[in-house]
Order: sequence, then C-alpha cells, then structure tokens
Amino acid sequence: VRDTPEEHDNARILVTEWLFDGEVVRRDAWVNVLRAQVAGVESP
Amino acid sequence: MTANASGVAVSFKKEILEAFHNFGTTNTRGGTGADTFNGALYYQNESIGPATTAYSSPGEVSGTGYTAGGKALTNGTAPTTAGTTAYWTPSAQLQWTSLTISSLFDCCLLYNASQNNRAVCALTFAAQTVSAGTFTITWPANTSITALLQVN
Repeated sequence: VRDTPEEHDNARILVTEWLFDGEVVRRDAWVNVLRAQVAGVESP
Repeated sequence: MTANASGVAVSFKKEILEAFHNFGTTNTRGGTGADTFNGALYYQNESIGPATTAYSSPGEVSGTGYTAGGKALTNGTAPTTAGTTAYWTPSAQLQWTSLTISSLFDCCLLYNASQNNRAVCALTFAAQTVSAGTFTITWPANTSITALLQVN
C-alpha cells in the first residue's frame, strides 16, 4: 500500500494505492476541502 | 444610545440560505420543504465554475459505482450566523465506494436537486482517478470562518 499526500491551496488530498506485482489494483482518493465559498463582501 | 448604522441584516443573510426572501415578481420557488442538494463530479476541462447555472450531464464522470447526477449531500445542520456571516456546511462527507473513474476528474458541482438542479457552487481539486476504490470529499469545519458556504 502506498500513500501519497498532496497539499494544494484549496484542498488537501490523500491518494492510497494498492499494488500487486507492480500494478495498481486499487486507487482511493480523499479530498479535504480547505477553501470556503463566499458570497458577498460586507460594505465598510 | 447607539448610533444607527447601515448594513445588510445578518438575519437576512441566513434567510437567503433558507429561501425566505423573493425579490422576483412571481413565485418561482417550487415546493415548501427543505431542498435536497447533490454533488456531481466532472472531468477536468469541462468549463464548470461560477458561471454554471445548473447541473447538466455533459462532462460529468461515468464509470462503475457512479450514477449520473451524483449523490445527495447530508444536510443535518441548518444555516446559522456568527458575527456578520451566515454559513452552512454539509454535515457529513460525500463518498462513493467501489468506484472506478479512469479519466482525470477535478470538480464537484453542488446543486439544488429540488429546484430544477440550480447550481450552488463548484469545487475544484487536483485531478484524480479512482480504481476499484473509494472517493471521499470532506468539508471544512462548520464555523463562520471556515464553513463551506458563507454569505458575508
């Protein structure tokens, strides 16, 4: 099993791969959303 | 006494998320209950973004374990406010299991499945494939600073 974490500005991603004889037989991806979606900005 | 101040009512921001207000000239809203919101996945380079007005199937991923239209979001926490911000976040992760998507995808469109599939927001991430596995999206903490959907 091979874990590959990735850091991006809007999401943190963890990819987990299961290998058999060097071939990927399963690949999972987990996306952790980091950035809010914001509507509007308060006027001063 | 405190001086008067102009500004959008914080309660109004929350009520936008609850569909209390209709500035249109007709009643365009269907149904009277809470809506169902879905998340649908899209291949990369499909022009999904803030200009997207509604869910549509072109560009949507396909593969074992995925049904067109995506999956319903878990909505167990009503919109709320803190300070001058109204906010909402799905109350559970969005997850597909036993999934195979062989081509790269990088976007999840959240949309209102109860109101003609109208778009809410598009979320992009580094492009992924999934093979006989699980794809999970987890959301930021539901606070006025970090919540997924905020009205400021």
